[in-house]
Order: sequence, then C-alpha cells, then structure tokens
Amino acid sequence: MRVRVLPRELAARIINGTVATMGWAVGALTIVLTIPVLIETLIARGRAGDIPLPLALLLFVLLGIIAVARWRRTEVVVIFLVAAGVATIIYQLALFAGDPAIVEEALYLVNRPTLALVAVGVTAASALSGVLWCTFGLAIATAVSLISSLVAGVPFRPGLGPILVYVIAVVGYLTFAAIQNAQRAKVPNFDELEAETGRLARGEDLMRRTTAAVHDTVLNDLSIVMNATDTLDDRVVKRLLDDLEQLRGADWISHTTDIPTADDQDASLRNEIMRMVSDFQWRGLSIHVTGYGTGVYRLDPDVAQALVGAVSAAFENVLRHSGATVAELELIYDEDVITVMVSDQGAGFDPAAIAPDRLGVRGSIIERLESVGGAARIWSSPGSGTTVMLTVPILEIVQPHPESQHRRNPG
Amino acid sequence: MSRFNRQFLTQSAYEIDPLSWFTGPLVPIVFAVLNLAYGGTLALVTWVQVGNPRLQFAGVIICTFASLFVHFMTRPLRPRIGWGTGAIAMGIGCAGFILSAIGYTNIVFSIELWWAPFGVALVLASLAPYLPARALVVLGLGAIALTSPIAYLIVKDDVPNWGPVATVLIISSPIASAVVATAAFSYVVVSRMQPLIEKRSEVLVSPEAARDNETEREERVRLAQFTARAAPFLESVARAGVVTPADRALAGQLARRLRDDLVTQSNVSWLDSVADSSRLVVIDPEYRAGKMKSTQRTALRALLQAILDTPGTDAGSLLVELRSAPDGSTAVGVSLDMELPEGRRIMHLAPYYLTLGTAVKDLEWSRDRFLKLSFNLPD
Repeated sequence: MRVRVLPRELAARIINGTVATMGWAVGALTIVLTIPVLIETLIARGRAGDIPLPLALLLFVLLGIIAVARWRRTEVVVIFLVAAGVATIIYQLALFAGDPAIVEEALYLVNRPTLALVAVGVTAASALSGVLWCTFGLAIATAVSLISSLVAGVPFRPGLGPILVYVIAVVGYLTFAAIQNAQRAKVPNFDELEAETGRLARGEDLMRRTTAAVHDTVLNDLSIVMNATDTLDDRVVKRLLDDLEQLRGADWISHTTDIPTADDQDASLRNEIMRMVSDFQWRGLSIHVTGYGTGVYRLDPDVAQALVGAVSAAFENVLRHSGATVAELELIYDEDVITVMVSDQGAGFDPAAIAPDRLGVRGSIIERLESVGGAARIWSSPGSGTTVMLTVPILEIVQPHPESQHRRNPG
Repeated sequence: MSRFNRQFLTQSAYEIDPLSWFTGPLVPIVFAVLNLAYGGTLALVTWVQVGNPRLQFAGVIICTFASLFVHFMTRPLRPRIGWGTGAIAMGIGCAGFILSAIGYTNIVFSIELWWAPFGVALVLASLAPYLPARALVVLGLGAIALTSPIAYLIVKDDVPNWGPVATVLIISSPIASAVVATAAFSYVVVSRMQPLIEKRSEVLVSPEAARDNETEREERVRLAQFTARAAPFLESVARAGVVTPADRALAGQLARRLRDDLVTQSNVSWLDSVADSSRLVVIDPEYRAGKMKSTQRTALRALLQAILDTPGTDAGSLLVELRSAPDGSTAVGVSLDMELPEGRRIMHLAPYYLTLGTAVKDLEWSRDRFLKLSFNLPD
C-alpha cells in the first residue's frame, strides 16, 4: 500500500478549485437572503406592487448560479456573467424607478446581486486564473452599477460589498498559492521514498531466499562431509556438485545467472589457516581467531604459502616454548597489505638474547616473509607473553572487507 | 457533480491532507490579519458615529485573538482540534461581537458597515481547514443563534432604514455566508481528495517494479560471501571422492561459522539496513520491524532521514526502539539529542511527522531538548 499523501500539485489544484465552489455557494446564499430583505423593504416603502419584477430577476440570477455550479464550464460562466449583469441592471433600475432615494437609504438591497457577479467564477486550477476571474467579475459588477446609475440618473454607489467579496477571494487564492509555493521546497518526494522502501523490501526478500538456499545446500552438505565415510558414494558426490551448481546458477535469486563464485585462491588460504588452527587445537593449543571478514582478497601463491608457513611457525613456538594453552590470531585488512597478529600470554622471551644462528624465528618467520615482500616484527619480554606481527602484500582485492562502523564514524 | 455523501461531512481537510496546512502563510494568521485590518478600518470609519470607540477596538482585538487562538491550537505537533476547541474559538469571537454591539447602544449607525458580524465570520473561516463540515455548520449556526438576537435587541431601535427581518439578516448574513463557504470548502476538499487517496493507497508497490540491479548485485555479493570458503572446499571433496579426518574437522568449523553467519543475517531487518548507512541505533529484540507495513516503513524512514539531515543533530544519539504491546500492537519510540530550537525543529520535521501520523496510531511528540516521539503500529 502507498503512503496516504497526494502529490502536492494535485492537492493544490483541488484546494484552488474549492474557492470557486465557495463563491457559488456564497453567491447563491446572498441572493436567497436578499429576497426577504427585498420584500420587507419594498413593503415598508409602500411599493409592494413593485416586488414581482426584482424578485423574478433575483430568482433568475439564482438559477444562473445553479447552472454554473452544475456545468462548470468557461462559456457557461461567461454567459452567466453577461446575463446576470443585464438582469442586475434591470433589477437596480426597477428599484430606482420612482424611488431614487433607495440608493442612499438601502444600498445594501440594491447592490446584493453584484456580489454574486464577483463571487461566481470557474473552477480555477491555479491561483492566478482564479484572481483573474474574480477581477473580471468585479469589473462587470462595477460596470453594472455604473450603467444603472447613469440610466436612472442616481449617484454612482457600488458599495463595499462587492469589493469585500473580491478582497476575500483574492486573499484566499494568494494564501493558497503562497502555501503551495512554500510546500514545494518542504514536502519530501514520497514517490521516491516509496520506491526506496520497495527496494529495501525486495532486498529483504532476496536475503531470506539466499539464507534459506545456503542453509539447504552448503550447510547441509558440510554436515554430510562431517559425517561421511572415508569414501563418498556417487550419489553423495552428485548431490554436492548439484548443490554447488544450483548456487552458481541461482535461478531462484533472479533472472540473471551472473553470480560471482567464490574465489578459490582466497578460500584455499583461509581454509589452510583453519586446518592449521584445528590441528593446533588437537595438539593442546586453543586458538581464538578474530578479524575474519567477508572480504575476498587474493595473494600471490608464494606469498600465501609463506604466510601460512610463518603463522604455523609462530604457533609452533607458542606451543613449544610459551607454556600457554591459549593463543590469539587476528587478521587486519588494509588497502594493500594483510596483517596477521599471533599473540599469547605465555612465558615470553628476550628477542635480543636470541643467538644469530637460531633458525626458529629468523628463518621460519622473518626471512620467510621478507623473501616474498612481507615483514615480521616480534614483541616479547620474559613473563609478559609474545606478539608476532606478520605483514604480506595483497595482490588483488576482489571484494573489500566492509569497513567497521567504528572506523567509519570516529567519535 | 459528485453524489452527496454524509461521510465527507465528518472529516476535515486537515485530516485528509495534513501536509497542505502546516506551511506559511498560515490560514488562521491570514484571517487574524484580515480581521484586524477590516475591523480596525471600519471602527475608524464609524468613529464619529460611535460614543465609545474603545469598545469597538477591544472587540476587534478579541476577534483577532480568536483567530490567533486557532493558529496556536493547530500547530503541527499538537493533537487535532475538535468541537471543544472550535467552540472556544467561536465563543471568543462572539464575545468580541457582543462587546462591539454594546458599544453601539443607543447610537444611530450604518448597520451595513458593522464590522463585528464579519469578524465572527473570519473566526469561523480560520477553523475551516481543521474542522469537518458538520462541525463548521453547527458552530456557525450556533454563533448566529447566539449573536443575532442579542445584537438585534441592542441595535433595533437605532437602525432607521431597515425592518426587523432585514436587520437580523444584515447582522447574520456574513456569518451565514461563512457557514456556507467553510462547509462547502471542507466538504469539497474531503470529497475530492478522499477517493483519490483511497485509490492511491490501494496501489501495491509492485515487487517487479521495485526490482533493480543494485539490490540483486548486493545479494549476489552476499551469496558469494556466504559460500566463499565452503563452496571450493565442498567441490574439492566431491571431486576427490574421499574424506579425510582433516576434511571432517574443517567441515565442522566451516559449518559452525556459516550457521552463525546465517543466523545473524536472518535477524537483520529493513530497519537494520537503514542503520547500516547511518549511526542510528535500533533496539528490536522481537523483530517487530518486519511487521511494519510499506506505508509505515516509508513514513518512518522519511522521518529518520529528515532527523539525520537536521542541522544541530547528534546523529549518534538517534535511537529507535520497538516493543510489543499487550494488545499485540507494536510500540515504537524514537529519541534523539537535538540542539535545534523548537520552532525550527518543528517546521523542519513537520511534513515527515504529519505523514507518519497518517500511517500509525497514537503519535506523540515530547517538547524538550531531546526529540522523543512514540507511536503504535496496529497488529
């Protein structure tokens, strides 16, 4: 479902259009309320016999307003303004006939129909056209009063009413226009936001399907390997290969089959380290691995081999010399190098006291890495444990390891 | 012309489209200014006819205040106004009207130029966007019923040119016109917008339309990350056709890690995805974010983004917490440390807040230095 917010331009058109509707309603009410005033005033002035003609003209104007509200077309409004203008002239002349003082004593009664001329416009989509229609109506109302006064020879008194209606209508249109103008800068584009919500929902759906598929294939297959006999039968081999093919094809995920497969070299290195960790655990050294990420990094094969060898040598030293049963392995990813930290809280030693001819550290760790462009540093002191930092260059970053929130947002 | 429907009499233009009424120039302010200008001008014009012009100016100020009262009661973060607030505003306007009528006691004056009926009409006009047509009609007719007899009794002997019917109609016609105009406004806005909004809200955001290459690329990367290590291992084992003890150990290690990754991934909601690209902290132990509808998600995301984009915001302190309520609904709290002054904060966040208000229940805003808002999502 979509957000319950109309596009601003559509809302603006509807609101602007209501000003004209209000004008029709007020115009009709004005005419209706004028009828009792007309009857009472003319009776009071001893002119009861003159009532039918102005009354008929008021009803004519009222019918015109109803017609405008019914058909709402420009030509209907123009015809109304002309016809109602003529009717109003006749209405005012009928009131002036034999009673010119009425223009001074009962101007309110005389100019009522002219209010309807100002108020009745078309359903304007924009404020500007609404103001123009009101101005046109005011011009006709003023012309009607002028013609009537000239024909009857009475003073020209258009009255405050038409101007007041005009001012209110114009203020209304301009207020709505200013509101709508201010909104264009402040109201967000909900269509774009909805599209983004849809994208997130689609991503969530894909994610669910991905995890389900990985669970049903890779995770189950690993379980099969864990519990398999030494030799796999053809049916199991076929299942493993079919599952891998399903993931590569990935028809379940989208219409495209362009799914990046695992990087063999990167996986091989990681698995080699994992095997090594597992071996040392069987030998009594528990290794905590931290810093494993989801990035895919490719190393030169010689570099990878040297790194695995150096890490293995470092753990051999921990197992043989430190007396510790627990060691840490931390992987740190940078733009051009991978750093492996091997540390323990064991006996430690004084690096300066190691004889130059001792091959353990120098040959198996330092020189091994330096020969492939890497580096090794060792920090240790008796009783304070040992930390070995191994750094090797990266050949290629296939998929960078996601930066941590902490690093992205310092402080 | 569309068929008359009583339902459209019971909703206000503000309820149906709140976004149209929070930016300036604000409708009640405009009518307050108009009240002051028109009433003040006519009070000046009729000064010579009036024995006590100070009562006229006092009446003008009271009617102006009535429109300002509507303005303050309809600020974006306040609860929607109802009959009570409308009645108070109209009561204030009527008090100004009666004060003006008392000022004209025993004074012959041009009743057609009396500003007070128009002043009450403008107060009703101030309420037009915020009350349904039915309330506008009742309050307007109530104002006529209250003011016209009192005004007639006070001025009837001082109106030489008009009979009683004309006098009452001249007094009441501005308010009657306002009743008709405001009711027509409210009814027409609601009747034209409501079907459009309902039609719009029925449109489902098509999954097909939302499909895009970027989402699928991200998912392919995620798949590759999941299988990066296990797939080559499984392939090598399958190709070799034999399993060594080391292979079993590695399979166990890989399975444990993969299971952790899958559990972590399956607990990630769309809100966590938003948090990934910001410093937003999400507390959602019961995974209630997944129960939110598309409209609620869009509205909440828009608000959160607006909050994060607000100058003076400590984005790191933005906290969203979702909890299940006893009735099965979801209670949502959003809090943030914010230095922005109240007025600017409201105006910046108002469109998002108002939109969120159309999609959730019981939306509340706390007014202090910390931005806090809470709402419920129906079960």
